[in-house]
Amino acid sequence: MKKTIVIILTILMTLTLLAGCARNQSGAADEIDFSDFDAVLEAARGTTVNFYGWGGSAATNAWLDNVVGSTLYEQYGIRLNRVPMDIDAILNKLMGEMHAGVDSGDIDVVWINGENFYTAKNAGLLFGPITHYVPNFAVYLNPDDADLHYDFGTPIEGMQVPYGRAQLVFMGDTAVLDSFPTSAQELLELARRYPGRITYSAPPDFTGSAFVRNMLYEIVGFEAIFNAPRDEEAIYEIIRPGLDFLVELKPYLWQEGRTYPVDAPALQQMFIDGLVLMNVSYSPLHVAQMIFSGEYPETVQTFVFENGNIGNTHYMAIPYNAPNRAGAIALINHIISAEMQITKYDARNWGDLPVFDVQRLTPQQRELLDAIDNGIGILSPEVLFEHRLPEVQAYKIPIIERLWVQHVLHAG
Amino acid sequence: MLLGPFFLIMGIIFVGGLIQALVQSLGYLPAFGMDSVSLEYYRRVLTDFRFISSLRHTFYIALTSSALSVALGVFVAFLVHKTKRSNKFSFTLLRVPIVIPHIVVIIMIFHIFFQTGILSRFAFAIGLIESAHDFPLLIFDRGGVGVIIVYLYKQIPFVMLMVISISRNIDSKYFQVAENLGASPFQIMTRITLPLLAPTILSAFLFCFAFGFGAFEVPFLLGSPARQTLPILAFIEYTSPVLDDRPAAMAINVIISVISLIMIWVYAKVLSILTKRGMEGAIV
Repeated sequence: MKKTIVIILTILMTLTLLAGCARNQSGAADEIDFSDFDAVLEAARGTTVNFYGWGGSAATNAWLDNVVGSTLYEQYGIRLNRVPMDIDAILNKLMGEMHAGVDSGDIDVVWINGENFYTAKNAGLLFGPITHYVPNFAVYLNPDDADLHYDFGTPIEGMQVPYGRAQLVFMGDTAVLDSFPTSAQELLELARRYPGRITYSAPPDFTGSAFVRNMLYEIVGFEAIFNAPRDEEAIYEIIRPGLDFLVELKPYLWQEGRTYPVDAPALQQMFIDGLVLMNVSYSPLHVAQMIFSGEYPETVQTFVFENGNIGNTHYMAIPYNAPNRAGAIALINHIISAEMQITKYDARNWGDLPVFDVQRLTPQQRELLDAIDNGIGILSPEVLFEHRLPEVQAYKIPIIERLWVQHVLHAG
Repeated sequence: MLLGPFFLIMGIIFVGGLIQALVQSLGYLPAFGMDSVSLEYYRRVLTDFRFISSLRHTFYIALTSSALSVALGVFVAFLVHKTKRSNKFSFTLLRVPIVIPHIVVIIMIFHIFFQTGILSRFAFAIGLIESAHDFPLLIFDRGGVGVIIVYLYKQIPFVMLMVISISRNIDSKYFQVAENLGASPFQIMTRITLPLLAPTILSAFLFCFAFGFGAFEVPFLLGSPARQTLPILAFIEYTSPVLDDRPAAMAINVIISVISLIMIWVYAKVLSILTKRGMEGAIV
């Protein structure tokens, strides 16, 4: 019995060693000059590129496998191997490999953002900067776009490339309301006119927390919160007028603000039942999807504030020990191409907002984008981008949530 | 000997988890580069304005729900017992709420008791209220009514089952003798049935209390954000992206565990007293 185990183990170990050697050889192709994109494509042809990331959405997976995978193979002869893995596991794996000194790992491209990017970048888990190796980055993306420079307040410094975006949107029923508020002040007026008919989900619910930050942006401005030092007292001083505004709004809210719906689905249910006049979502195509499924009437319309709504972006990065860097660069370049981003925006595929600057599209690409019918009641990507504000540093979010609990929820 | 695997698993999962929580609550998380040990996080948790109100609310929810469950459960069990027609069907029916998962009950209670729920619609239809806003708030309310209703729905049948199965096993000679000696039904209940059932009732109470004290999903989904129980507070700290909040979450968990252990100790004490007295009472 013991002998068999020993034999099996020996075989397994030998195989692992062999596999490791084989991989190291393919890793030796790193001699190429990544700034020469033709050389990158040349080196990547015939290889397989391993894309690691969250695999919990069937639509997203199908888009990657069928649309991205097949065009990548047709155009560049590169095979896409999508590996579903949660970002925590990916980062643990990379950290483990770093401690063990593994120079050639398994992951070529990782789907990442926010605090995980912060962790990965600071721990030296990423290869880069990479943005200048990716030609489409300069072609389609707007260099003034804040999403290219900061991810939840972490300086990106070329270490990751935008993949797609989400944005906070509001919605109301045009059959009930003649006009929608375009600012926090107008929201307060609306609440005064319809006492008890407005509310938001309580932070730390993800959507409710973003709603509160959006109101704080309205009153004290994004810059002020972004530039605040990492200190609860200092942040409180800065956002205080914003919290005061929310306290002022409170008596006109549902249940006079004594309590709040606990999460976004609860608020959505209240909106569907006509208990409240306004709903909030971090998914810009939410209304179209709900009208399509018959849960909202066709008169529901998405809206944003004049000064903008919070948005966040998800990215792609290359690990420090990616075995196929050339393939990784080719894949990232392919994914941010106008064609792929447009198919990604199609709700039948995924419905994720594109990362390109709409002004930079060719007339033909523009036509392709306009031809996409994602349903009614939504705003175009162009309008959304014109009304888009970045997220603050991730570590400030729980502090803001705590301050909201203390000074708004438990006020008076 | 057969209990060996049980204790092994319990030891690893329960004691292991508790020890890890204890270690982390002292701020020792070498994986995140935090390797100093201090009571700082306990100080932080105990001085947090949310903690005391949370502790009070947790006790309120656990006590109210378990006291009501036990009182109503015992009361209905006596009624059922008296009719002596506890057929198999009603016994099976009684088990239904026990096997339905909490999360399903949560959805059910939400759709019945919320301002736009079935009751509210019914009240609107018969003209009791003019709009959904007039219906009293029973979900997301500060009093935790919705949370308590869920616990009652799950726990009353549980208490009843425990009480019925024990009272069935009480020797009927006690009752016959008592009746013979001229005891009133009330005397029989207070002098014989209740003392004999006391340990069972206490166990049922403790089960209900411990669950209400440590459960997360019911108050999380139906409670008011302005009245959060301790497990929710721990969850919020644990899911914060700031690693520094994690030891605070563990400190809350350790506090919850300590309170639960104290409850078990009190339970054991009271139980031994009750058993003794119950025996004497029954024999005398």
